[in-house]
Amino acid sequence: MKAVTTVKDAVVRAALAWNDFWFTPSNPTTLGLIRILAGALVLYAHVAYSYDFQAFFGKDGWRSLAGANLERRTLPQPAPPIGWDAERPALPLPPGRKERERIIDYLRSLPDEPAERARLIALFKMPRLPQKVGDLPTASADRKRAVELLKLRDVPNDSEAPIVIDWGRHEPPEIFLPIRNQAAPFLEGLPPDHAERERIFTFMKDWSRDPRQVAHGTTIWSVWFHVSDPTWMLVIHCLILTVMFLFTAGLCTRVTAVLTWLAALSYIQRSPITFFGADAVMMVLLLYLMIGPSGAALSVDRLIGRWWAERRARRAGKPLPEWPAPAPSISANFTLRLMQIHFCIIYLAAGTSKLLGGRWWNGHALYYSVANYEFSPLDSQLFHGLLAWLCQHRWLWEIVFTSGTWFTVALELSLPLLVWNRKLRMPYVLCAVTLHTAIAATMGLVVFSLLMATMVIAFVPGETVQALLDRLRRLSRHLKKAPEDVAKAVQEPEAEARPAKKSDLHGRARHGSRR
Amino acid sequence: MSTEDVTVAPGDDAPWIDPLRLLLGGLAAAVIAFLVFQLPALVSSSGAGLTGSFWTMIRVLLLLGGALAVGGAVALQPQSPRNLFLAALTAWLIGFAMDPAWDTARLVMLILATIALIAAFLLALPFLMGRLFLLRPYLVKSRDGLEPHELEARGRFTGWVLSRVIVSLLVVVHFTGIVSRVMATPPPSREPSWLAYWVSYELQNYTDFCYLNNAFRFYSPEPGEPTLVWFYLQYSDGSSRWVKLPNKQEQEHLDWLGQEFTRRLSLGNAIGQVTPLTGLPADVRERRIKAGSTLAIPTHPEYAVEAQYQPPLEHCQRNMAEFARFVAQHYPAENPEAKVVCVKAYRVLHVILAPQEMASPRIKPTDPWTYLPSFMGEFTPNGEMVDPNDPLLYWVIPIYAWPHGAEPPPPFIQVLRLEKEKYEQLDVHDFLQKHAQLPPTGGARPQ
Repeated sequence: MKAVTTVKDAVVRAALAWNDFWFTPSNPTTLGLIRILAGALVLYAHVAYSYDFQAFFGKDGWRSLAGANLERRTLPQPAPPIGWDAERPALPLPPGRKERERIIDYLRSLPDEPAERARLIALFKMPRLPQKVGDLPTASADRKRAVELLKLRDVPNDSEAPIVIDWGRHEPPEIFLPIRNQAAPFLEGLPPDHAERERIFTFMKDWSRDPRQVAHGTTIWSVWFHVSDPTWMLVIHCLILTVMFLFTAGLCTRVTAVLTWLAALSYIQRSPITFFGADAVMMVLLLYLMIGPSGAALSVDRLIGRWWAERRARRAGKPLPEWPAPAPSISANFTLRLMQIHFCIIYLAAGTSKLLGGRWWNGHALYYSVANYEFSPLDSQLFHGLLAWLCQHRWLWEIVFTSGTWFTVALELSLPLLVWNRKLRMPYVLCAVTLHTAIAATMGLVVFSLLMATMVIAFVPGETVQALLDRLRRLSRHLKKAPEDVAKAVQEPEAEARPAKKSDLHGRARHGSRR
Repeated sequence: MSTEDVTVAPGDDAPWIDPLRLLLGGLAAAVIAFLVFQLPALVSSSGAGLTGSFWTMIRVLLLLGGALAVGGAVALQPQSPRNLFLAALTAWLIGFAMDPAWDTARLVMLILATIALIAAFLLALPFLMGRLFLLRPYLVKSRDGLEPHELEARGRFTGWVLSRVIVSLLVVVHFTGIVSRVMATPPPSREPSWLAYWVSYELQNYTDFCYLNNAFRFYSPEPGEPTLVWFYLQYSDGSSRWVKLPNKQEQEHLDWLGQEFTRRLSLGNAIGQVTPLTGLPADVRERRIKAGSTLAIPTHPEYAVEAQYQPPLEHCQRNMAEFARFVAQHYPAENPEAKVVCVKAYRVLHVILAPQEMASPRIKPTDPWTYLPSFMGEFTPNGEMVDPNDPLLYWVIPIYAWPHGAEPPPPFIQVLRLEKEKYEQLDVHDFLQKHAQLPPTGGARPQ
């Protein structure tokens, strides 16, 4: 009975902790900041598309519209095998398209007339096609059957006499002969309906697989699958950039967030050949910014709300209302939690997979990342000179690159576990921002790194962001006034901006927290 | 989400727009579009409705206007189950009022309708449970003797808890999908986890649609060499040219963050995956050596012969054919009369300098021998491979450096990797140029 009570208590405690983790209101200012930063980067990434717009998304781009449509409609999705045996294709076709086409065209050409079709299939089934009389079965019944199938008029007594198989008008290509045994049951299993058979053959020509064996097609969307006229494409592209700008500014955020997400999906799904890590992080951020109230703080929406409230007060002859800080909301907290957990998954996946690589163990990985000409700024004399100088001093080289490599792995592996500790949270956030700034500066993946640095801001409480922004605002106000006030301005707000006690993500005093 | 979720939405103070009117307007637009465009197509025997660019424009305007109106209404009052229900209905109608050819847009509308319906249900759950609990005394023998308002409050609380449980389950499914995509990507030369693959297969539609299908294996297991794509075009007037992508020196755009350059670099990844081979087939090796002897193109002396044959995965071959077609269409000859005769494609690894090489002032990261090209096929301007049996297909075509004046390396045999930083002067042996300039008839080559 006591054990039952203990388990029950543990379950209740876990449920309350879960509820507290996900469903406690928190300040949406962090979300607002993430929206501005991510929105600006998303806008930049899509403006940059303009240079290669038709090449990436046009009808005859690097990946043609026809090819993209074929793939999204028919790409085979093999299911995992239920038993221990790996699933085998009904007909093992060669990988080369031309060879595959020759085989499929041959199978297509086989006659519909039942007797002749059955004879050819029986020939395919023969374990070994006889080349000479001696290859024929010796048992009389089998021999007779073989002679009938081969349509031999007379069989010479000489066992070395060659046999010419009568294929009729259906001589198989050389490439088909090794798979003729497997082709026999495949042909017997084909549906009688001619159109259905054609559908199967067409699919096999494209993908080598029998469509009856695999699920096919993908659930993706893109406006560029449907609009291919260059003028209209340009119009829509400009509209999308406008929507992204409005989202960044926070105007009609609920609507523009959804439109921005759908638009960004549109580009990536149409041209996955140009995908890289930044797109993955971008889509994660946009998805969550769409779910949460990302326009509840630091947005034009909020300014409009303020203007409207003041206008109403003025009209009613009432004093102007005090504009409160953004109200804490459950959905803001919920969204930030989603971002935090997703960030931890990204780090854990990246960190654990690095453990498989020897260069991450011997400390050379960082060097091979920054010495990559295409990514790093090696075309800059300064950077190249610095790197060459480091390479000329082995001790220094080892200290810089080994410590950097190990720092990266240690950070990626430990952040997902330790960032939840309040004392360690800010140091970890700063370390992650440092790492991504360094990646941006030395490895060329600027947009990716800035997006990751933006995502890690999800760990910073809204109150802290608010206080920081207030301090910046005061500083800029004082800067406009007099230089001697600047020092005062920096120090002054500290007392009022700093929360009375250290707070957690929700801005609650630490001792009041359940965790 | 929950009735507790009170946010300062601008719409709360924006009475100039009535969300219900907006919703009804959107719904009306969807109904009109459905009645005018889709219904005639459904009932007529020919299946054709109003077509032509004018009518398409009207249809798009109606549907887009309807969708935006409904989206705006939901944004103004996101906590209203009634609004969400109407929005779901409108989105569903918009989906069905679309031309079947706009299948992916229709999919979006149906997904949005489903999300709105789930949200409406979750928001209405406390109210529904409150009503349900009021019926409790009539349905079961209850002895708790609660007043109706207490029963309703208890029901509301139950509904509120239930809605959080459902949201929590959705969160678990969401992250299960993401983690399954991470785990279903196997480490090099290993099989994926069956369980992860099975889960990712089941949740694939969701993760694919939201593009949550990345395995996040950044720079792992090792930071590798970038893959570039080079093309050699031969024209009917006898001229030819190289197209090398991406080319850092030819960045002509104002793209400070290098976003487009990185995208062009991704094209190399789209053709860069190779088929894992357990061994090099003897006939493939023999044909390579025979053709190499005839054409005087040896294997690369610094790599094992087996490592120099790397057939790409099938989707990479498909991409390569598309790229060849694109290049033939978009990179004309200087002479406008000349047509593209053939496109030779190469996948090129740009080898990263070892630290001791980087330290040498005589060696640059862009020296020709740092590029390791593999022949990916000769293509017609339509992107069809001319000769799938080309003996050099998928083989490395060497560009290597050798000490000036030294005995050349023996052909088709691997020697140790040359310590280039130790030599004052290196001669570059470029067999790529030689291979590219071969006449454009794959069939004429020795088989």
